[in-house]
Amino acid sequence: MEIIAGWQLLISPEIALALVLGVTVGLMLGALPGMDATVGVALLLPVTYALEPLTALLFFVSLYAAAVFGGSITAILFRIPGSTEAIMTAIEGHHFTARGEAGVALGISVAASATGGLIACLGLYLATPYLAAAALEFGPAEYFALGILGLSCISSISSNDQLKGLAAGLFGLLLGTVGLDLITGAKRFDFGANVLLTGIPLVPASIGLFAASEVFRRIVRRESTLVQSVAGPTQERVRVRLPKLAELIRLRWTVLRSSLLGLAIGILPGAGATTAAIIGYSVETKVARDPKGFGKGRAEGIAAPEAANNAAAVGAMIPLLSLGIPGSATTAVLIGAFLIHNLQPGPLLFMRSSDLIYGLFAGITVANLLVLGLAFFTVRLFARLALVPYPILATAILSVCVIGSLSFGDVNAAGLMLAFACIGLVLELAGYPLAPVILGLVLSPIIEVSIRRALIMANDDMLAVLSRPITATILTIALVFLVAPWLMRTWHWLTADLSTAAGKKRKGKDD
Amino acid sequence: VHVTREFVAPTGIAAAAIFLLYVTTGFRSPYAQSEIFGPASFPRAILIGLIAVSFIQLLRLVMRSTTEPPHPGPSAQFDWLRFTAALAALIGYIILIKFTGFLPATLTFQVAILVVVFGWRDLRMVLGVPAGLTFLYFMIFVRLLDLPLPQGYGWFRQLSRVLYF
Repeated sequence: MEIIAGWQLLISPEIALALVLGVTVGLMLGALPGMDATVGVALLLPVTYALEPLTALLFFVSLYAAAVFGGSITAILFRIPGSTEAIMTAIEGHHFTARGEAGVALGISVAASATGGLIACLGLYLATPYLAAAALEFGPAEYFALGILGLSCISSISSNDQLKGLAAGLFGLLLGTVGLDLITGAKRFDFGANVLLTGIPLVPASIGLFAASEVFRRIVRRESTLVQSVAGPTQERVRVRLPKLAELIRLRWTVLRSSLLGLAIGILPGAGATTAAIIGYSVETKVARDPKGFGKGRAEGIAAPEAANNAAAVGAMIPLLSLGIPGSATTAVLIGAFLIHNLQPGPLLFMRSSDLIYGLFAGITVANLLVLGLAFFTVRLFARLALVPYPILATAILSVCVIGSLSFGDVNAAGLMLAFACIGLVLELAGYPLAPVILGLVLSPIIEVSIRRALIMANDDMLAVLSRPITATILTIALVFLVAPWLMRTWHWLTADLSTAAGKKRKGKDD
Repeated sequence: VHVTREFVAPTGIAAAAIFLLYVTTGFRSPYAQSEIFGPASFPRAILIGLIAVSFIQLLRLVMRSTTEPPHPGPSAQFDWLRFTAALAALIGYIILIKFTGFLPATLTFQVAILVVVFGWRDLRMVLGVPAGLTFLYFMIFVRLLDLPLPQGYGWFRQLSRVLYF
């Protein structure tokens, strides 16, 4: 019944418009290098201030779903991923463009993306209610463990340098402690400024950290265009050409495998769409009977990462809606959209406003279908959008950053946005990732308040808190996620060392 | 040990964390007496973690610089002058918008960014792009979404009221 009620909520011109606009804006932002779903959601949070909660949330989830596919447009046409999720698509897809088959590559990409998203929607319907029901039994100790699990992903999203990712995450956690202590009311890190007593507001911080800092970075680096080389596809009439039925049947296992993989990765806290795309591609190259042709323009090389990244984007909504824990940087920023409308995602919202949640499920499903439909009409236009002179885009983005912050709060909020833009720039130039900062900021109060409440309830017995079965299990999983990248690197280093030594020994014997 | 740019960030983070660790000694609450985990405990745990991570980073850099020959690193050239101009324009915009309201401040800011930061000189573009963008934003944020944007003071307030309602 609830599922049908959710679909019925979509029958409204306002909601239909929000979905179409969300998908269109998402495709556009995804196609613009440097503008991804996280930047888009952060930038447009205040725009939805005046909208109804469901309309606003549907706008964002459809933007999120579409932006993940949108990244593949410039990846295929210019070999420049519009967003990080399209890294693997850029490797494989541009070979199609070089062969004059850009339309075919775009067709495979959009078909795989939509199918991946739709398969993940089934997971959304099946898994979320059970997780939310289970979460109702959770106490502060379990929420503390979930918060730690959310943080443990930092090492997986900071593939370049896990230590820098960890430092960025800790910085985010520290930012979350600014203001009045939620348990005792003690002032912390306010430095005499009343504006800091209420803590760091998520919306101006997200806008500054993701949108304004990206413009600053390009200004500092003297990047005056988004796409340097524009010869070729933009001069031609680029059209999406859906693959033939035989091709779709041939790709069915690739898409199904990658979608399920993407869904599983998306559900894991933090391991978002980019990780899913990389793993999806890598798994495909390993399971393929004939691995020849990967990296030279093979259909499976586009279908696998595209199905995986869209499935992961939908999968990331599962921990957010059922547990209130963000599954990725975009969903961490998306919490701001809930907060603007006085909603706190999690099991209580699921139980109290199940109509809203099921409306969201239905909206996400429709958004994935809309991606399939709208891509045909918009790809050519959005490919050209990447050629708009950057000064115009920069001016437009910076203005929205200020207007957005002002509409959320006052001049202080705009000042805070500016401070976070500078922080984001410094972090980026020093090689620190930004996603862990926002994850830390969101998770900090959850972790701190939960552990302190749990300790009060357990008479300050830490062992009693940590040894609760669910808490201990979640913490063990978190520990595995946290140390796995280091262990794997050490293992690779050791095995590489051993094989080099063995090679030298063999060579010595031969000599 | 070759002092490179890479040392600056972890050193700065560690120094800031040590200072903030000192700041946490001032976090007191009469209600925190019975708790082991008081208002300073969580920030302290984070700061100790930050210091530890920074020292590991520094140690790794020292070990790398003694075992590997120094490399010049990416020859990125940063245009700090343009960044300072953009920052100044944004600060000016935030201050100006309070006094002049949304429309004049946005138009002025956009012209400033295009001329000062991006060096545009074509008068048609310098005036046309900001005029178009400001009109678009006015229609979206004020007319369509009815966001409570600043109206300014005095004569500007009167102008805003005429345009907003």
